[in-house]
Amino acid sequence: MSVLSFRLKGPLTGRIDASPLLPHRLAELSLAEIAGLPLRLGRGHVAVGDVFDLSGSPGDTVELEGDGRLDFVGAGLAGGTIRVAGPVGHRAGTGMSGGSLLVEGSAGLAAGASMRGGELIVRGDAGSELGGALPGERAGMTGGRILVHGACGDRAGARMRRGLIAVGGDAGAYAALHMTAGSLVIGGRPGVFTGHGMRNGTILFRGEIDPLPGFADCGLNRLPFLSLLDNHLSGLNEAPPTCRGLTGQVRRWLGDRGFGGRGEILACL
Amino acid sequence: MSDAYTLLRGGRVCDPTESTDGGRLRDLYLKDGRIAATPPQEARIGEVIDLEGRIVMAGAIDIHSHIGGGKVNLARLLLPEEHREHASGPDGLRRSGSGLFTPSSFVTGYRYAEMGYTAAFEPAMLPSNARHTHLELADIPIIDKGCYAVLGNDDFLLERLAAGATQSEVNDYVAWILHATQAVGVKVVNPGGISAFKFNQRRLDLDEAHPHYGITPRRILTTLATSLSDLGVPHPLHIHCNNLGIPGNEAVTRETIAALDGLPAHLTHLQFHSYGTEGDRRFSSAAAEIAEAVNRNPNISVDVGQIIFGQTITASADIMSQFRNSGLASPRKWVCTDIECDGGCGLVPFRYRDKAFVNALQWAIGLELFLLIEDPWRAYLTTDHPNGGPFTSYPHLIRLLMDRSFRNEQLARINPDVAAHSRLGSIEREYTLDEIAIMTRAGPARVLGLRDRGHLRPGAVADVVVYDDLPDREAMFAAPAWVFKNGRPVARNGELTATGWGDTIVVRPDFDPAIERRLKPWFEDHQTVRLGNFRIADGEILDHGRGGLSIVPILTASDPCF
Repeated sequence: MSVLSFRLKGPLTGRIDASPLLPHRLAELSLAEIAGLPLRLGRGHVAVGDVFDLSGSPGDTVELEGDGRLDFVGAGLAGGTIRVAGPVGHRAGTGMSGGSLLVEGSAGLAAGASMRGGELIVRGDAGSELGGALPGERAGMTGGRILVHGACGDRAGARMRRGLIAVGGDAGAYAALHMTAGSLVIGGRPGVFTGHGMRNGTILFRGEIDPLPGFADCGLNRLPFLSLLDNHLSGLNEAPPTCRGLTGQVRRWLGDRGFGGRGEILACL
Repeated sequence: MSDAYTLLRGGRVCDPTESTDGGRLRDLYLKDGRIAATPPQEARIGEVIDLEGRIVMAGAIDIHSHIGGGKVNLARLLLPEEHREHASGPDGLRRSGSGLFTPSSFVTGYRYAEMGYTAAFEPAMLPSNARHTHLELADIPIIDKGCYAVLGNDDFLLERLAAGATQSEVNDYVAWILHATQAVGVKVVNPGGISAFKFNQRRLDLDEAHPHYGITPRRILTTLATSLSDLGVPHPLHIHCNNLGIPGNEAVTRETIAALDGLPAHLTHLQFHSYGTEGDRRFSSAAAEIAEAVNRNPNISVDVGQIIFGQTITASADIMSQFRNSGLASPRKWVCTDIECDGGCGLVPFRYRDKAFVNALQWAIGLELFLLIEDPWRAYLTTDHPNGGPFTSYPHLIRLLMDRSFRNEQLARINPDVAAHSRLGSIEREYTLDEIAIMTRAGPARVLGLRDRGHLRPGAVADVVVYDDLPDREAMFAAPAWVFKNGRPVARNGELTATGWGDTIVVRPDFDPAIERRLKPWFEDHQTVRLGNFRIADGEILDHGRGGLSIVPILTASDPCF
């Protein structure tokens, strides 16, 4: 397996659009060609070689040194692996359709937004719009998996249609806003207005909440599906530990009835 | 000011206001932003550009193109994916921008200029949106621009008409609106229908009474058309007829022409109003009937609103038709909204497909209209941008009109039922370069009253376009060899080389300011701004340093035409 490494030469002077640094786009190029590729920096451009020291050989894995000003890391990833040592900026992994993006630090806004497939792992925290919809889009995440060890911001899983998001820490407000399908597992505490406008799909966490008035209390249940989900999570490399063991008796709410929704909020007791 | 002339030497000048011989070899002198007469021997000639027999035309004028204002902005918001996919960064000359069929304002100006267009008119400015529209047009570089104020569904007019207002009161109101909104004409959209929609009416025929005000579209139409004629506004009433897009609407279109009874009027995007109900699918072309009506009525000018296959968005003040079509939205999202009780606004993204019967027939109807309306002085080239397709498809459309074999090739590709039944294949007409110059330059200039644009006689604004005479007319019109705006070169071989600012074109007929006594309480009771704040001062346009105001002269009895 060949690994291509990008090490930052120094502090960044502005925000960089790192979306061209995808394994499958670089695999056919030589190191010199890669060093000559333009990257957007603020309103202008710089060459890859002006920002990064390159080492290794192009193949199916890219390793990046992280920085909070590297945006669009892994955006549009279709295959292969990107590992980031440190944090990333906004929109990491947006529109991913395959492959794996591992961020060892935290991620900024809209990580995994409009994702269609593949796996995004964030070991730190994630910002708002995690796995959400890009501005103006009717659908958010439509496939794939997002595993966040830390907390996430507001509107995680907004307009989600398919796939799995597991957040180890707390979630912000409006989690699963206007969700149409898919699963959102929260290992910590959910924020306010969780599930607002949801039409279908599942939100799962631990401990009782006082849901929005649009949710109808369906009482205590034992759902065999929860064990299947827990088994599934146990088979994943990087599932947040706090998201495990959400089985047994749950209180179930159905909604958001204000939107004719039949989604479910499941609070594990 | 400079004392040197720029000489464009040895071009074939195609100016149908002078002669229609397909372009005569002639030198063109430019000075101080105008076309100059041949200077005396001793005059100093600065730059000389050898045109080597290339075709020279005046800058093209788009008479109907939705390029600014509330509805265009909503269209941009509705389709963020379009702007994500088609974005360009700043390059030292251009500012950044985005979009394909709803381009951002700067990109709009660049693309028009690169295609040899030097003026475009925003046809649907609601008076309550006028300030926004002008601010947005102030961001469109290079080209001249103007707006038509939309009337005919505003409650003030409808209420006054219902109360029996005299023609002179309506004239004063129309003139006041033209001044207050800095417009160059008046458009009426689905007369009475937009207002009727708000009273749950879903269709309104010419003699059907408005459910609340009790007046008919016919009354609104004739009153407004008479107003503009009385006021001497050069551009006659710009009419978007009733029942847009409904099979069988050709009847209301012909009735509208008859109702005008000789009054000058401009029927816009006629293609969408030329549908019959024959055939198995109860949807057919009535282009021949409509073209005949236009041919017989010299008071009528039209623009076609051709559709071009592909993705676009339909944007119209005609909320009645847009609400009806909202189920056809592709991608599946749409907006319909009222705007300050002044009119409506509907946005429905749409993909015209060449294999779909209805779309293919619309395409054929548009081309039939172009080819069956005999007088190019009264039929102008538009796609009703972005409703039928983006303005960047004009070169393709010109080729369809000029090249019969290309047209028939395209015809063979569309839905076979349409191809088999359409008369399009049997029409032999091919537009000449002179006719194209008329329908894209001289004609629109004449119907808008722009005396110093659309031609290349001495005194005209030096908006000059030089084309390579290529057999592929699409390539020829897509990338002119040179484009001059106000005598300055702005594009070369279809690429922008310089930028600048065009004028805002307005019209200012006389009126009795006593109308403000009636308008003031109306604004205080029903509008969100006071009358004094509603009016757009000249400084609001001039103070940006982005082009001047150009005032179109009023027609007088001694000067009926020029």
